[in-house]
Amino acid sequence: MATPLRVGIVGFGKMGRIRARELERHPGTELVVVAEPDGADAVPDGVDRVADLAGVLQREIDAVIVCTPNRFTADTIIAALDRGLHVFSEKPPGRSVDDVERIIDAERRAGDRKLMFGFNHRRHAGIQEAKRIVDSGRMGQILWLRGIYGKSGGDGYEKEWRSSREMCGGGILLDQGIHMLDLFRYFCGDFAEVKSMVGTSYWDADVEDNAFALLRDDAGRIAMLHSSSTQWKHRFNLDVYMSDGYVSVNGILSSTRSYGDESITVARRSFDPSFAAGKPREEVTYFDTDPSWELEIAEFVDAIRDGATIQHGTSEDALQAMKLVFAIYDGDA
Amino acid sequence: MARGAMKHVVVKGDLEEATIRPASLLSELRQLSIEDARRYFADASALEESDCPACQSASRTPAFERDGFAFSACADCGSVYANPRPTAAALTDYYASSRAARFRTERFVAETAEARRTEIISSHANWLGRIYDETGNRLATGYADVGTTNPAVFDEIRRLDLFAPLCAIEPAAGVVARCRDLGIDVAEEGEALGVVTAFETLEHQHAPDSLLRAAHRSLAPGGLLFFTTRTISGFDLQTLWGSAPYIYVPEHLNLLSIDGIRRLLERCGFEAIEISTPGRLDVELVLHAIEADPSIRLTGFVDTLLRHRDHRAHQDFQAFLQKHRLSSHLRVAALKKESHS
Repeated sequence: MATPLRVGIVGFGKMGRIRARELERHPGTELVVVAEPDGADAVPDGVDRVADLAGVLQREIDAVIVCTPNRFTADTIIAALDRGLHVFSEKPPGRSVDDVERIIDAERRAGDRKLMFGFNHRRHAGIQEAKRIVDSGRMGQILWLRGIYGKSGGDGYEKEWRSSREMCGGGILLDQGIHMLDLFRYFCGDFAEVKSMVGTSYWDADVEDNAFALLRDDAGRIAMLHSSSTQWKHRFNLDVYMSDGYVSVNGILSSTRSYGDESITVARRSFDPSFAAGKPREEVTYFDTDPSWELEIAEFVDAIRDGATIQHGTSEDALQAMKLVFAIYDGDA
Repeated sequence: MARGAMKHVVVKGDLEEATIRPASLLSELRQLSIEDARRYFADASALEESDCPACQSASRTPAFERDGFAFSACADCGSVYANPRPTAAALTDYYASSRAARFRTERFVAETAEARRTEIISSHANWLGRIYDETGNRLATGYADVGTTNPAVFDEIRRLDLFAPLCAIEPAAGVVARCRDLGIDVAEEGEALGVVTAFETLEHQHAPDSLLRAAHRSLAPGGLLFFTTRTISGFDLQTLWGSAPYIYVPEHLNLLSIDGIRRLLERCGFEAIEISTPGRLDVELVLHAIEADPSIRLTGFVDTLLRHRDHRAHQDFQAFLQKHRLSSHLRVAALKKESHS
């Protein structure tokens, strides 16, 4: 068996701990060091804790996982790539399009080093099922998409780093809505036209708490997005309507299940006059587990081991998603 | 490497029993079956004792008696099964020559074929197409249906444009010619297939594990088995138990529990990737049964729900049964395990 990949994690909050868990489960990786300046969260047995990125880069490691607030993301990725390390980073990939372009420059300098971003929603079971159905062509061509992704915030939400423009570069759209934009691209590719309205309606913060957008691609397919941090009941919903049917992914499995059960509803269009119009037979599939974290780490490790091309969460995916985010911001400027 | 998560399915849409099982046809089939069963299985040599056909446990208690045939309940997995049951030879004879078997294919299936295609078979085809897309062995494209009674299944499978060749394994005697007319191979067993289906067949089998083992042999590595059957774990059978008017020998020798199905799959070399109960008729079946037989007594809650709540409540309850694997209509997708010996 090959020597395990030695990995460091920069930022050991919620996402850092999730990634550490997956590294522990993967037989081809070994978590060596974590950097976390704040708090006193326990690190796994046998793993060193250092204060900052410099402490991680001093270690003999093969790869870094970046789980920092947005403000530090780009510089952390660039430093790790320039050090010759493979990098996996959480989304969003920085605070601006410029951040991503600087990252891509570093990626080019780094030659064969692998860079991957954690757009894990692509790997959720419901999304994978939807993608297979769309790609099979058995329900015809995509007509339109509609995505709603919202969370409620909570006590002190406006004081969190996620609600600071200085720390994040944007609000709920950049933090969470970017997943839905990435999914739109996963199904349709790039969009050429954006119309939007963005607002801060409730939280006392300098970033948006609601973003509404309409996107259209060159084929005329329209995608509608609502991203919100005033969705008092957490909600994830992605509808993909095709010429002969539709799929609707509802809920997204999370550790608290606060977005509900994850399911996909599938139905074929029916104009059969013997049935009530607009009430087709639907099949709803419920998924019991979320394989997305495991699949992401597996893809990253396989790419490093085998030299395979990253398929999900490339720097191009990150760049295009960020361009959409800022096109939505600019659209309401 | 993570594979697809275990899943289960709920179906939303109106369906009435009469659409797929018209009362007059159902009544005649039942009557013929009961009469033929008495004739074909009257001799003691036509029956034999059986352990649980799902988990093989010998531990059992009497469950109920139907039309002179005893059913046992497995103390380990909860499956209910005819015991003693017709021997394999007696069953073969019954299905080859009984009036009931002939009526089933020539009248019952033929006259409900179009409704079944719309309501059932089309969705079966979409179901297996989706799981094949996700998990199937793309190099193994052969498809076989075991115990075919309705050749319309092959039309729907052809629409997917995924499978060739198509094969009917041990089809019902009355549909062999129709299968050949459709260009379907007819065989006793398949080889290196991508998918094997067995719709509403497991419950008739003398030995369900024989069917599953034959399917296992017929499948290529990574091949998929799909089947539907009635489960005793479902609401209508749990409620009506031995009073369910639609349970009779030999149509229903095996009413396996969900736990029993899991164990059966495991010992026959399959890994379950979907176990769902997307039935839409449990509540209606119980309503019909209590209307036809006023002596059936329901427990307080069920009596209140069925007799004193409206159709909307019944629909909501049926949806709940589906979601929590509590309907008696069971569907299973399973993957052939490599290491099974």
